[in-house]
Amino acid sequence: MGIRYYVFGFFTLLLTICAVCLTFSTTLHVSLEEVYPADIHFRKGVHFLSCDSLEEAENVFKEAIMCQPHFALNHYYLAEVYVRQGKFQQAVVVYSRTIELDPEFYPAFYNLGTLLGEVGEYRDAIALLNRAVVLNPSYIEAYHKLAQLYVETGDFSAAEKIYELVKEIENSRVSK
Amino acid sequence: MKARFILLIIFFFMVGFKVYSIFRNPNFNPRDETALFWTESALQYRTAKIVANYGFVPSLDQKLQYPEGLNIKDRLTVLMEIISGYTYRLFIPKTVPFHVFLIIFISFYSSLTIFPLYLSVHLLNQKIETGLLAAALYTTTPAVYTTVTAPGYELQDFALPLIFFHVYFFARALKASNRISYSYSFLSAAFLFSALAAWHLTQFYYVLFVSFIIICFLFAGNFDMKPFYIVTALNIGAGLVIPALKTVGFTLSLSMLLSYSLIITSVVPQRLGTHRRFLFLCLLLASLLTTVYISFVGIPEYRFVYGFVWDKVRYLGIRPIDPTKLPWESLVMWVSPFTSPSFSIMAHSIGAVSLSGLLGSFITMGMLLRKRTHVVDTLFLFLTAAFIPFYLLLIRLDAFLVWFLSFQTGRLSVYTKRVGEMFILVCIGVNCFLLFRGSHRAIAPTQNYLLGMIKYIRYNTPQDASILTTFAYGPSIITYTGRPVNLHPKFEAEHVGSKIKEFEHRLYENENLFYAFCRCHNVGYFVYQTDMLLARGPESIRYRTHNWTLGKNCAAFKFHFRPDSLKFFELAYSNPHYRVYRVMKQGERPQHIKRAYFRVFDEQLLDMKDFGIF
Repeated sequence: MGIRYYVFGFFTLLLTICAVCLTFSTTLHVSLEEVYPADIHFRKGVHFLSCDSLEEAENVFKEAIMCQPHFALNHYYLAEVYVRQGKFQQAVVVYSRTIELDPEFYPAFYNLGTLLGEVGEYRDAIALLNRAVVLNPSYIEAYHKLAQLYVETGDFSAAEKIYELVKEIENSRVSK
Repeated sequence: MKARFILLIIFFFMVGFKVYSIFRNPNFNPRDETALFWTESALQYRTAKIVANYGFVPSLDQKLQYPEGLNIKDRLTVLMEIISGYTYRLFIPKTVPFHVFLIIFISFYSSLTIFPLYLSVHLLNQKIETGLLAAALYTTTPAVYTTVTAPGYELQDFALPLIFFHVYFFARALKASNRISYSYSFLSAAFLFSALAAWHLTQFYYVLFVSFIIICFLFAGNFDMKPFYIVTALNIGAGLVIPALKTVGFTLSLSMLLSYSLIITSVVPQRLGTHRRFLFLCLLLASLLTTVYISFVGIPEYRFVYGFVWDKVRYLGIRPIDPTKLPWESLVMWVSPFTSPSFSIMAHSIGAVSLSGLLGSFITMGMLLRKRTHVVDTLFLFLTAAFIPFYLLLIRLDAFLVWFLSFQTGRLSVYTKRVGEMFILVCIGVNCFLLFRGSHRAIAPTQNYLLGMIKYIRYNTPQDASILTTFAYGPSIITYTGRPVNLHPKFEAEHVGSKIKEFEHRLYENENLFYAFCRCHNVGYFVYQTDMLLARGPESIRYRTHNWTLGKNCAAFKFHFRPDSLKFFELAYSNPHYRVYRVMKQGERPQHIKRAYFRVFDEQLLDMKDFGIF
């Protein structure tokens, strides 16, 4: 009576015992050779970018983003590619995404600020560059760019203050 | 036939919802597995992948818990990894990425809990509709999805279907006539055997199960003990055959000692009533004393669990404000998912099933008082009642509670079928709302910085360099970089508890002592996390090591603010959440190169007093 329950019970027991007793090896040396597509695409992208093969670089960085959408550097380099291709609109979008993912990544703030400054969106550009110097108070390039934008907008006193600040930072560097 | 079809639809909805939730998780990508799983899930994923690639598991994995290695065979329960690894190896085309397969596998497998639920409700109520409604309510309860959709690959998701099938067949054994009941008991015992091989915590479920048998034996006349004999017999077999259970002395665990006491008492003739009970009391006392001895002297790994549960009960699940009232061993366990649930979490994760389940339990209780119940009703009522306080102590037990509450929901249609069923339908509606509207909690650190750190280790450290991290990060490092790790979260492993304790305390001592620890354990690189110094919350390292205030001479302070002042560590990589330090070899001096600036590491921007640093 209930023979099928016995059979199923024995099968469960046998499977468990075989699994936990027979699958261990004392000599097994584990070295899982992994392939990480996101990293491969990223490295390829950097290589293409350095060779100025911008179309290929764009494609592989897009692939890298598909694999790892949360890694800010993938977006940052794609934005770089767009800047060099002259696709400013796309570059702005991708830099903004970079900043969203990594709110401490001051080079992205600087680049985006510079880009917006070049197309005349001074208010946003100044805000971004101010953020960049808050994130890194010794970011000389960002100060210079910020001062330049103040000059372009006619705010000379603000520009002067920035230049004084730059001088202070440079002096403190020399004294160190 | 129609009922089976509906049940299958409910089942596939459950599987589909789990798979869909993971696939839409931003951390998931079918083409790259990096940092998908986190902590224990990552470790289990790695073991399953080894099985899928090699067909074997190394008995001793030296890369885990470097340099001494972790004895996987004798310490860990790896049934889930073996079954899933072999399923992939034998039946799945290799064009399917392993992590994608694993997500589908665990979603499918963990959803099997619906079948014992339906069968149990049907067994007791003899109503198909009630069984289906209970299954539907269970399927729409958010707590059912918590672990799998994290995404997680947890042992409990593998063991729970086995445990619930064990409960169902045991109930059938109690209900059936003598001869057929043996076959049900055997199958029930076989499921419990597998569950014990799959998850260490099954032992603690078994304590509850034995407690129920004790109550029945002592207070219910003519209780048939034979099904329990069969379960105990196979459990002894499990304790002797399964290496991980053999190592922790399962045959001498509290649950097994109670089982022996019960069996010995049950063979004493019934007419010696008082003597029988006295004998049982003596044996019970002996079992408890033996357990105390074993857990504190014989097998210290048990001390973590028993000590933690005791402290939880002592403080009624509320962590004391002053951490010095509790030892490190309890505080290290008193973190998510072993914390107590808040009212908000209870409402959002259990939802309406709490109401319907409690009402059903009261109905069963009423029937019990009027002596209109079978012993099987008592079994389910007992387990439901037992898991309510345990859930309030440990949020992880929600999976048990939801299953038993869904079962009790079936009771609502006992007296007023129409009203009961309408009520269950309303509950299903409420739970559907919670399920589709609720946001799933992401159980992992911020991906961007974690990926940055993982990629640095992957491409800039030697293959054999061991990496020292907090125990929670160890699995991510070994799984996604292949580097050996010194610490991991499997507390059942030998000596890992003391090693973690020493590491966490040395962080707040001077650099020389921390370096001595690194040298002793052959550490190549150390991953510093900003929360090691700045966090003081109840789940932080500072809280559990009782370092509420710190001096500026401690190693953690230097790792955070003054890397240039370190004598034995060289800053190799930095992002706002992590820093990777190379540990100097004997006689080597660090080269302090200026790294990228991050505000969080700027001593002048932060008020040290806010962080208890003086």
